[in-house]
Amino acid sequence: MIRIDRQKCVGCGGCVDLCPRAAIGLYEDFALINSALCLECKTCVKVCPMKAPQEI
Amino acid sequence: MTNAYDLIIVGAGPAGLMAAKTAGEHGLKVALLERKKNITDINRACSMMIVTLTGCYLSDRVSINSRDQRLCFPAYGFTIPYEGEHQNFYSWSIYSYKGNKIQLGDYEKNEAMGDKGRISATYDKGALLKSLMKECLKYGVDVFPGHNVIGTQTNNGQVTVYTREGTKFKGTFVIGADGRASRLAKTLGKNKDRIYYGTSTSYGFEMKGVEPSEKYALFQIFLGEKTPMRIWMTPRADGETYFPFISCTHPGADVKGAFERFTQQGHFASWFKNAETIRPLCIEGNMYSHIIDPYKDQVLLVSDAVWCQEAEMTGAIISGWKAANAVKYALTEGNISREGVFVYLDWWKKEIIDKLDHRDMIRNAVMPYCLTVDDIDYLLSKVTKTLRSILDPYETPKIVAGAMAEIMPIVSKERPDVFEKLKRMKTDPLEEIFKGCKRSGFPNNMRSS
Repeated sequence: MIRIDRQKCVGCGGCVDLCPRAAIGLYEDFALINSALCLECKTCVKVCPMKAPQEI
Repeated sequence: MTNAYDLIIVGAGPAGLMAAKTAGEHGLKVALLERKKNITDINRACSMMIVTLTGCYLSDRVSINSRDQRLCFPAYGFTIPYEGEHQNFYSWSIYSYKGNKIQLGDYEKNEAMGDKGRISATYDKGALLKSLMKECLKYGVDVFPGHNVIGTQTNNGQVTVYTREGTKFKGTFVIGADGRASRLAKTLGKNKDRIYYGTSTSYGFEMKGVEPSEKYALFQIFLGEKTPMRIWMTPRADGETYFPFISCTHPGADVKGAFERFTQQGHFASWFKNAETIRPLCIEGNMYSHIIDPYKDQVLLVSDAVWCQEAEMTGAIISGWKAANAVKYALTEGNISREGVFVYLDWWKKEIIDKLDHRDMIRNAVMPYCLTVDDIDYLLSKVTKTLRSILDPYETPKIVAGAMAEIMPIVSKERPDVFEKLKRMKTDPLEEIFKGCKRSGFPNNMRSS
């Protein structure tokens, strides 16, 4: 499962844009993954320079 | 139909806010949806340069009316409020990692001339959004922050906009101003025919106390990293903060480490010895060609949603304005169709598709893919004269290319290997050059609706 570390997320929305499943939204200006839609393709993990999306 | 809007705008950046304000001025009933909660907070990397105060971009030259706090678009014939600061910059330096450079604009001469000598200025995007938002509220635009739009559906002449939050909005037209990786462009199938080049990352820090070689200048620095990376840096509109950031087209590259090496070691470390970090900023996005046809089922796509790379603030404002005008025209005429919004579609074809070759824009980034960092250092050391400086993503590369052409006789003699690479740089297909930038999982076309 992948979740966003809010300590690291700056809310740029890049992962929201690039998620192939549209599984990520911006909530309260942070990225939030909808685990029901997430395929764990790790696109967000690969693209985020802040390393905010983390596998748990 | 009682709760329906004339126009629903998705995305409250410069383009969306401009479209909302314009439609409001036309007396339309407008909804503006934005996924961010705090619309005027800027949380992503943006260099905030005004393209262009000196050249001609999209057939206009922007100017600043400081007296009345407005940005003027004289060729298009409108002005917008801008209650923010700006910071002129007077030269543009393109550096190699060792500190050799091409200089566009004579800094001292230009600075002495003040506004007349600037190559452009940086603006405050947050202030611009605030100024436009004020206008939107004045004209009765309904603003909905915190709404993640996921798609649209058009039935019987009405478009329904769906959000992740479960809300629905109904309207006659929709303007999709949802940015570079537009969800609407994707769900409408508009990305299918685009050429995809790669995915780019920008990563940097807002800083105070930076001491560059010229105080108010634009810097572009080729880093001595294995992965092609460039630093861009300008002063912010306040004249004190700087925003150096790495631009890289390899997703997952170690931009964090590269940024640390850039500010702590090597030729440029002295610029940062007294620097204080304010906050990190980043953004990631796909590099696509323009969308040829920005219309489908009563949805008009504008600005970065349809552009190759970035529309810049100027392109955002103009395309938002054009699209809102087109919607007003169609509604007045009662022509709810592609033909109805011809004002926008004609402009798009004439100004963008017929005039700007997106490959010129993409080709700006190829140099570090075809040459080594030391090849680049060698080339930059050979151009010694100061070049003409304007800030234009299509014109400036021509100026640099002209200077390169002049040194080619020397390069062909001294470094035939570099000469050969430069020839290939001009002729090799871009897809070939950027082959290494494509990664599995990109582009994300798995989801079509």
